[in-house]
Amino acid sequence: MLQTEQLTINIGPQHPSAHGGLHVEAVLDGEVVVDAIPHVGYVHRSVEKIAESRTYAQFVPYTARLDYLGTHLPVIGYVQAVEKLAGIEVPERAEYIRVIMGELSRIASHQLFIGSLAIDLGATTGLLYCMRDRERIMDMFEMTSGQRLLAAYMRIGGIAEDLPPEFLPAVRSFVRDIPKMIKEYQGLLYGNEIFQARLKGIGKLSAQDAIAYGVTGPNLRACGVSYDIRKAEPYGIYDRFDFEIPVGSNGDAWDRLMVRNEEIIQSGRIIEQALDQLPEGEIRAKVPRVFKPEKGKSVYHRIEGAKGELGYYIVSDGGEKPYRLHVRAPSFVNLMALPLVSRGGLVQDIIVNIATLDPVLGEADR
Amino acid sequence: MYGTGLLKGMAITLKYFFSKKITIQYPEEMPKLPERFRGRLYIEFEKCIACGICTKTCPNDVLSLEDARDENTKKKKLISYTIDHQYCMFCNLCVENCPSNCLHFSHDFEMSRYNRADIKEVYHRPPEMDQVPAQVSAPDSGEAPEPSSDLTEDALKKQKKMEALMTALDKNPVKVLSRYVDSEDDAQILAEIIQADRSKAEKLVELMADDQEKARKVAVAFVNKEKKQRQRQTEGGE
Amino acid sequence: MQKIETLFVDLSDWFIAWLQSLGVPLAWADAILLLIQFLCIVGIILANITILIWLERKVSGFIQQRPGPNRLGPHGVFQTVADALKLLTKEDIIPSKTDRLIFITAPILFMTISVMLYIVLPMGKDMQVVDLNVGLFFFISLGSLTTIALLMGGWGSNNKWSLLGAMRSVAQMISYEIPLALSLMGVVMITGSLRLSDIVAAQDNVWFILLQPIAFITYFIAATAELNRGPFDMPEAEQELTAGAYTEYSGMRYALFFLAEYTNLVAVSALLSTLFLGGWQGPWLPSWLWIIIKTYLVMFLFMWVKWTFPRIRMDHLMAFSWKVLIPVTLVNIVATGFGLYIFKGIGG
Repeated sequence: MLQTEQLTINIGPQHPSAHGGLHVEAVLDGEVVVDAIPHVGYVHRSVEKIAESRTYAQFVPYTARLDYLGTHLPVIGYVQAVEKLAGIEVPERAEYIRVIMGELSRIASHQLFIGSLAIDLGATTGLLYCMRDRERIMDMFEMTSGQRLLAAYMRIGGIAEDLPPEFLPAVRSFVRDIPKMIKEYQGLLYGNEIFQARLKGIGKLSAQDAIAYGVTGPNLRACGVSYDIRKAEPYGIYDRFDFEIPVGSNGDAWDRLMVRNEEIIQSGRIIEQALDQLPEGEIRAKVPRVFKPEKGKSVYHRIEGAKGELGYYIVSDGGEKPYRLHVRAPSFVNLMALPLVSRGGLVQDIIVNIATLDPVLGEADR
Repeated sequence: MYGTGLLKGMAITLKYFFSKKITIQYPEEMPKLPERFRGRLYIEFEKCIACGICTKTCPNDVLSLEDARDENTKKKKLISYTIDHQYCMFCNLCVENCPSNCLHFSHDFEMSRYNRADIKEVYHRPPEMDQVPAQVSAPDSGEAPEPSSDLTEDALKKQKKMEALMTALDKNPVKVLSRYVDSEDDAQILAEIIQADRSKAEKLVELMADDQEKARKVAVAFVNKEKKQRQRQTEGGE
Repeated sequence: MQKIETLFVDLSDWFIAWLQSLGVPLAWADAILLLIQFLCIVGIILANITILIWLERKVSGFIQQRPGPNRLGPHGVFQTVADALKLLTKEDIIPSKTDRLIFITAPILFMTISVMLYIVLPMGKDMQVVDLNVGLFFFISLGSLTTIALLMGGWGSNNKWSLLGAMRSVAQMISYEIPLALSLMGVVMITGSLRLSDIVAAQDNVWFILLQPIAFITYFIAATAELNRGPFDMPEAEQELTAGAYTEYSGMRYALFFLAEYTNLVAVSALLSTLFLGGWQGPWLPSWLWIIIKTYLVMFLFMWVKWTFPRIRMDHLMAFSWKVLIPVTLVNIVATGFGLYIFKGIGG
C-alpha cells in the first residue's frame, strides 16, 4: 500500500476565482477534497461601525457597497428599514420605481452569476456575453442616477430624482430582449454537454441542511424549498405583482444555476407589470435632513436580496445617528455551507461551489 | 445526441466572430454620457453663500470650507473651498442639499493623477471679488447696468437691493408702498402712478435703496400731485 | 509559376552548387545546409508564433465582440513583439526553495522538443529537412516527451499548485497518447508507410479526412488534450490552479513555456493538415503556401474550440479518453482493416 499524505492548499485570497478576496483552506487527498474551510474578512470595511457615526441619510450610499453587484437592493432594504423606524410614508411612484430598480439589480446580479460561473469553468466567452447584456442595465442605472455600479439613487422617503424620459423605452426594450438573452446563454452554456457535466450532481445540498445552515435566496430555492420573502412577507408593494417562485429539486450546482436563470425571467415579468402600473406623482416624501427616531425603538426589516434574505437591524437611541446597525448578509450565511457541499468532491468542484453559492465578499465581510 | 450542444455553442461564437464589434475605443472614442452623469464635483465659487450645509451633509468628509465675516455687511463670505476627490462617493447628497445650487457634477471622468496630493482640489477666493476700485460709480437712474467685476461691493449690494425691491413692487405694490406713505389709500394711488409710469417707479426704487427718508418725501410728493390732478379732473368734469 | 513553386528547393540546390564551386566537399556542404535549414526552422517558428499569438487574441476578441489588440502597429500586429520585449526585460526570478537545475532546464527542454518536431514536417513539395522512414512515429514519440518537461517544471517549482498541475498533465498526456497514436493507425494502414512524404503522396486523389472522418475527429480531440489547450487545459487551468505547472515561472522562462506550447500547436496543426487535408497538395497555388493556409485553418479550429467551451473536469477527461476515445479508435482501426480487405478484394 502506498503511503499518501493530505495536501493543504490555500485557494485565495489572491486567486483567479477567489470572487474578490475569499480564502478557502482546502485539504486534499489527491484531487479529492477532504475539507474546504472558508476564511472571510479580507474585505472587512467595518460598515456596521461606520453607520454609528453617520446620520441615517448619510449612511445610504454606504449600503450600496455591500452587495455591489445588485446595487439597488441593499439600499432599498436600508431605506425601507429606516422608513419603518421613523414612520415615513413613501409616495406610490417612488415605490414602483424602487421595484423596477430592485428587479433590474436582481437581473444584473444573476447575469453576472452566470458569467462568473462560466469563466470559473474556463468559458471566457460566456462571461463577456453576460457582461455585454448586463451593460444595458448599467446604462439604465447611469441614466437615472448618474452612477453605474454604486448608484446612490434611493433616498429615505423616496428616490433621488424622477426617471428621465429615455429610461422607460430603454427598460421596455431590455425586458423584451430577456428571452433572447436567455436563449443565447442556453445555446452557449446550458446546452453545452461539458458545462452540464461540470454542474449536474455537484455540490448537493439537502433541504434540511440548507434550512439548518440558514441558507436563503436562490440557493435555498434550488433545494426545493419555496421560500421567497417577496411572497412570504411582502414588503413595499410586492403583493401587487403576479410572479412565480422558481424551485429546484436536487439542490446541486445545476439547480442553483437554473433557479437564477428562471428568476431573471420572473424579474422581467415584475418589471413589466410595474411599468404598466407606474403612477404619476410625487417621488419623495418630505423628510427633514436630520431626523431623530424615538429613543429605544428598534426595527428589523428584511428584503429578498439578489443573494438571499438581506436584513437590517437598526436600534435608535433618539439621536440623529443609529445606535447600532446590523446587517444580516445572505452571502456570509450562504458561504458557510461551502464545506458541507464541497466535501468528497474534487478540487475543480470547489470552484464550482464557490461560484454557484454566489457570495459577494463585500457583503460577507461587510 | 451527445455533442449537439457543443456544435450549437460553436455556431453562436462563429456568428459573433463575424458580427460588429461593440466595444468603445476609448480614448479615441468617448463614451456617450447621460445628462445626469456624476463625474468630477465642482463648485461655482461666486454663487456660494458659505452656509456649510454641504460639509455637514457629506458622509465621507470630502468637502471643507474656510469662511470669514465680511466687515461691511456682517455676512459670511467664502475664502476657500476644498474638495478631496479621493474620498468622494459621488452620492449626490451635497448637490441635492445645496441651497444656492452652486455644487455640480461635471462630465469629466478622467480623474486619475500621478500624485496623491494632486487629487485634492482647492478653490481660492478670486481676488476680483474683493477688489475696491478707486472711484465709486453709483448708477444714476434708468437702466440698471449689467453687474460687472469692477463694481464696488456697495454698488453691487445696492443693485441687488434694487432688483429685490423691484420684484417685490411688481408682486405686491400696495404692501411695499404703504411704508412710505401715510395711508393705505395713498399707497393704492401711488401704485397706480408707478404702474402707469415706469421711470417714476425706478426713481422711487433707487431712492428706497439709498435713502429711506428722501424716498418717503418723494413718495408723498407724488401722491399729493396725483391727488391734486385727480381733483382737478373731477372738478373739470362737473 | 514553376519558379515560385520550387523557389526554396532551387535556393538550396543553388547554395550547395555554390559551396561546391568554392571547393567544399559535398558532405560538408550538406552539413552546412542542414544547419541553415535548422536556423530557418527556428525563424519560421518564431515568425509563426508571433503571428499566432496575435491571431489568438484577435480570434478571441472577435468571438467576444471586441476588436482585440489594436494599439501597436496596424491592427495591433506588433503587440506580441512588445510583449516579448517586456518579458525579456523582466527580472529573472528563481524562487529560493526550487530545485534549481530542474527548474531551469524544464522550459529549455520543452522548447527543444517542440522545435525538434519540425524536422520531419513536409513544408512543401520536396521541402523537408529529414524525410525519415518512421517520420510519424518520430513525431508522436517526441510529442509525448513534453510531459517530462512539464513534470520537471511542476516538480522543480516546489509549489503545491505546480505539483497538482504537473500531476494532472502527466495523467492527461499519458492517457491521450494512446488514442492519439491509435487514431493515426487508420491513415498508416491505408498508406502502408510511416513516411510523411508517402502519406502526402497517397492523398493525391482523395484527402484522408473523407476516408477517415472518425480518425480526424478523435485525433483532433486527442491533440487538443496533448497540446494542453482549452477545453483540456488541465495543467494550466487558470481558474483552478492559478497557472498550474507554470505558477512559479516568470519572465522569459515563462515565455519559453508559452512559446513552446504555440510551437506545438503549429506543429500539430501542420501534421493534421499533412495527414488528413492532403498536405501541401492543392491546385494553382505553390505547395508551401497550401500547407500554410491549411495549417492556419486548423489552428483557427483549435482557437474556435478553445474560446467556446468550458474546461472539462479531470475525472471526466480521463474517463472520456479510456471509455470513449480508445474504443472508438479501435473500432475505427477494425473498420479500416475490413474496408481495406474488401477494397483490395474488389481491386484484385
